[in-house]
Amino acid sequence: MAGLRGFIQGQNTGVGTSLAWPAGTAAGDLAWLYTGGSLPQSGPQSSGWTPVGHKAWWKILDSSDLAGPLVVTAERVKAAVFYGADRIGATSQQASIKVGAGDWMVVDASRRSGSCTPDGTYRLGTEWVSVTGFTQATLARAASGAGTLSIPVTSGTDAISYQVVAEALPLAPTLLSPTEGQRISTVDLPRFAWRHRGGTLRYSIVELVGPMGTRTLRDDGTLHTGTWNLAPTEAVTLQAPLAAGSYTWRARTENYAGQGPWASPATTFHVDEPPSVGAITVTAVAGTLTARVVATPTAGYGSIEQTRVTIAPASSASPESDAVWTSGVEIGATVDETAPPTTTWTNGQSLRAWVTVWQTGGISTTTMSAPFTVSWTPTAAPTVTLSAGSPPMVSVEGLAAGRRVEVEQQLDGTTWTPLTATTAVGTSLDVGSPLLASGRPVRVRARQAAQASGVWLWSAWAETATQTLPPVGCYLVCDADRSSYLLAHLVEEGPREWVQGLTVSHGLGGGTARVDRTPEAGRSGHMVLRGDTTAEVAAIGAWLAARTTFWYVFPPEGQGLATPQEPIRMRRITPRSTARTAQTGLIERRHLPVSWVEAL
Amino acid sequence: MSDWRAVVASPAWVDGVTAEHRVISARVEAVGVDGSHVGWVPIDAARISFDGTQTEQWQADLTFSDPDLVPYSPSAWLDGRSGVRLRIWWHLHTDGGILEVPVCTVVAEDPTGTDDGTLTGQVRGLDPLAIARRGGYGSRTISVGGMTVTDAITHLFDALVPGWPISVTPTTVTLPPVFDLWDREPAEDWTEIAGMAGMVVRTDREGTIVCAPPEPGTHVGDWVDGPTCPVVEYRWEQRTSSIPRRVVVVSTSPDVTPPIVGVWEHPDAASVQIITETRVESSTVTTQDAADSLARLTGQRWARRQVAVTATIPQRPDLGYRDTVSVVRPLSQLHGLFEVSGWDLTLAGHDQPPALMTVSLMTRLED
Repeated sequence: MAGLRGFIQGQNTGVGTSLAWPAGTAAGDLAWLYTGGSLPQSGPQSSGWTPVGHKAWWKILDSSDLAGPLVVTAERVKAAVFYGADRIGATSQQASIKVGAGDWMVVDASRRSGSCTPDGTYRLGTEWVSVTGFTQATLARAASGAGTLSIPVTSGTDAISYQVVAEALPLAPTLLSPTEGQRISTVDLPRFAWRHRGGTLRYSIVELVGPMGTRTLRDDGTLHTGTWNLAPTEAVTLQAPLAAGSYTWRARTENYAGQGPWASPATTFHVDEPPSVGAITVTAVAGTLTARVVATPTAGYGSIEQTRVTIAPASSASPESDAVWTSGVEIGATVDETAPPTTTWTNGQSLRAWVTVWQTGGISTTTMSAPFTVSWTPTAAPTVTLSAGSPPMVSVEGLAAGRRVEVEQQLDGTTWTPLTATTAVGTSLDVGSPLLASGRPVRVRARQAAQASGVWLWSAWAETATQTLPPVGCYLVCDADRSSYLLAHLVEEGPREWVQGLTVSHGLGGGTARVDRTPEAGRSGHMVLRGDTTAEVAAIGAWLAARTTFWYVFPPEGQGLATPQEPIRMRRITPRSTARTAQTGLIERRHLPVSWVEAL
Repeated sequence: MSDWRAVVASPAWVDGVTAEHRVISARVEAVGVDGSHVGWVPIDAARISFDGTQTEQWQADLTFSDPDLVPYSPSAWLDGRSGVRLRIWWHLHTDGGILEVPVCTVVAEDPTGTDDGTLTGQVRGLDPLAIARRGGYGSRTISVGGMTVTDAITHLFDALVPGWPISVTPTTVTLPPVFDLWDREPAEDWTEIAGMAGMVVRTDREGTIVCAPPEPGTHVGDWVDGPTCPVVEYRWEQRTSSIPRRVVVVSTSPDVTPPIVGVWEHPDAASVQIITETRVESSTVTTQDAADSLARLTGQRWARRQVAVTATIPQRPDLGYRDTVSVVRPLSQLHGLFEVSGWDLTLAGHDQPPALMTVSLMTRLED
């Protein structure tokens, strides 16, 4: 049945008045509120209130309502808080109303002058006079049984009555966890959860039947022989694991109206011994770049159905996210997995293997192995030297036949760009790079890779110091392999023009020109190369024909120029042609004109 | 969807696009039907014409030389079945960055090419409404009677071009109780239905079919003779030959015998230089009042001198239909506010001088 928790003394109020809740008001209580008068936006200033009757409201309170005072905007206020109440039901315009057993009635009473009640019976607090001059009172009375309930009021009193409907008995709670047929390990602490349905939860009883007999759960997670009423909660985690076996459990809850029925049918679950992984053997022979993990697991119930092996750093707290390699979940009962050489190992890192096995019913166990390492002898870095010359030469030593070699150059002081990539035939490699003869600080680096178990193991980079190499001549350098170049003799190099579209227009009526330009799109130009012999000219022509993109490295114009020209990456834009000068000598000379455009 | 309308309204754009020294460029994007980015299209040149007085406002002719663009499968960009549209962007390079505006979004299909060792290809880009109008309703009769104009237009385009982006302004105007889409040209149907709510159906710059009340234009330039005038050339035409001395309206409705005739006389009929008699036959005119009214309206509409102007200016692809420009050119007797009705623009690569564009202005009536 419902009860009166308390009331707020009726009073005149204003905009945003704060009122304290009655002592003991708890979440789940029902608040009834009358906000009278005609201020703009009159009413409670929080959300979730249901309007009812004449300028009245009700709400089932929750913890956020009780975190602060009740804030209202109204000329006058009357309020009462009930426990065990479900809602406001009927309303009437007299001091009497039809109610059910266990209900209450609350009345908003006012009278032009003089007291609302003959003797103050059933009045909450005292009367007072509103700004309109009317005498105001709040009345409330509990029902003894179903029927018409009334409160005596003096003649001439206006009364609006509200039925405070008591909560009905709760329904059987919904059993949430453990679920029907679930299997729990003897290692885990089972968690029981259920959902109360109907009214304010006051007590729960959770009954567990198993090999130990019938028990109920206590708030501290222990098992109680007899019946234990749990304080309002909808979940309990056991303090100790259960023994292996078959169990059933059910729950019932109680509200202000009384105790509801048991949840039916009861849920059955099982507790099993978990599987054991057994001893884990890891074999990782140095230099093979592999790690073989073997274990023989045994099941606590049923059989082993799935396994997984994960290799991660030995100190990792979350091997799944730090995994260097994982076998993934494998169907089967045995563990024998090998991480292949293509795994991204870190040489000599301390690793562990985590083995997880699942048995019939889903319970799993994860065990980690002792630490092990995967190591190999790293390839020694080669030595690399850069020497001036025509063109500058890069010498790489300390190689072995069959090893891959990469050489890179830093032309701008910041970015490493490829120079060449090749396979060594001997113990040393010499490459020329005209792009290094730029008059700017440059440097070079090289590394080599030896093969182990089919995987290329790269050495560290060996770098030279920064050097400044003077420009040494005119070269054409292949863009795909910048160690492939051609010495080019120039006859002339024409003006360079930046590619751009330009339109000039003059509007009517005179005035300045309007110029529309496109963005600049690189340079274009023309040069004429020279060869001393037919073969030389043919070689230059064939070299150009075989390459769509190449670099043009050109020495500074004039003596003593501080900043040399930057090499230009370009493409040829006219067909090859040769010109014959007047033949006056025995040696034929030929000129090779090349028109080019910059390839950005 | 891009916020190009905000870009065009920004002070940076207004100052930059009318500046005397500009850096401009263009590029073509391949987009899906929903506007999602598919890739960049290596187009050599695009000739775009915009005519706001037509239902199909946009048309583009594009040339290319990249062999990768020649279609070889239904998903190739220039294959009409791929659903790929070409969106042409125009860039204004400012100190604060590149401001870009979509010029138009067209559907490209039926490419042609010449291959004489090197490839030269052409493809026409069409307004999405030109494709929609080919749709037809099939053997169905789609009843849209009693629906709001919004729902009816949505249904209509759903039948013609399902899945295409459509934007219809909500309206409560409803169609007559019986209205079927069946046998007529879809373009006539959508024009009539949209017209019931005072709306028109056009494609916007992003390729969305839009049904909305006609938008008033914004004032986009002062082409006043003088130092800041951008116009390089005007072509103008004056016309008085269509001014009628008299308009005669004859009803050809079979319900009316003898035929009803309405007449309107030009107030300056005393002038012997206005000779033309205009005759109008109408099957919907059935009363004397209607005939007189039609004669009067026709006569008053054509009673004045018409001036049509085309101007050549540096590129302004942001000009929209009915945007206003004030024109003052005493030499050609051009004064007043003109509205943009369309323009022609050629865009090319970075090595080509940016071409001037010709803007057609709507005919004005002068005394």
